[in-house]
Amino acid sequence: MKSTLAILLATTAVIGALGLPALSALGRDPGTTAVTVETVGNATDGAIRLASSDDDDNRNVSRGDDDDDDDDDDECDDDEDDCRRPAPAMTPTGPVAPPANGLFSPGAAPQVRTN
Amino acid sequence: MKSTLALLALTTALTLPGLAVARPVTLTTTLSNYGGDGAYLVLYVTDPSGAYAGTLWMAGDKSKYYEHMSDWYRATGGDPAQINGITGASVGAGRTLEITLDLQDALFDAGYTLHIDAAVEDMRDSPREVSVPLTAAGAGQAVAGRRYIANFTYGF
Repeated sequence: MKSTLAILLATTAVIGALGLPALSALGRDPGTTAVTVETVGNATDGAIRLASSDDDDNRNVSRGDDDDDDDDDDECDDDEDDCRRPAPAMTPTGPVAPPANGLFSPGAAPQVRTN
Repeated sequence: MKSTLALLALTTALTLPGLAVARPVTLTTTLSNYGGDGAYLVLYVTDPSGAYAGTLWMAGDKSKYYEHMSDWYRATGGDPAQINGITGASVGAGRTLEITLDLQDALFDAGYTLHIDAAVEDMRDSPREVSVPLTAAGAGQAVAGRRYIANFTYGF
């Protein structure tokens, strides 16, 4: 009986020793996590060109009366037809570390596609 | 000896599931043909108390438009660190965004809720377009959005 208990204790200790470090590492080491983003199809077809509302409190983009902002980095003014970026279709962007927000598990390779 | 082996098998069988702390989860969002340009979407999670827990994905890469996803923006202040490495292109009307992430099991059946905020140029912002509790039973069940999302599902 003693040997049985000893074996049970040993088994539990070994599994616990393997598992606890894995648990404690979750979400705390973004360097070990990679995100692979893959875009399939023309993901930027109809890409958003929201009207900027940098200068007012209006968060409703439907009014269209906030186009007079002096945002120097606005590459996509409403009257420009060529401001849409070329489609990055079929162009994997490579591994990127996700935030260590505790939602993701380390070592995963999330994938995203639009079709 | 037989009883010892049986006990060992039982102990192992009971202990190993506890180590499976994450699972791949596929989040599928299909937009309706709402007749506008591509939508910015942000998928994020709140904890059982309703507090922001973290972001799962940001579809749309221009940070100056993030304020239009108002509930997410209110919770995060648009902090880029929240979406570092989990940002992609906006999604066109009628298209489907499919994301597969390795998520912690602790998020399921524990009171967490997944939300999607949406915004489209020249159209109304739609915070919490979708809000769905993360449960094992809810996997595979389509949920309709309020304005731009035809349906959303998650599955294991």
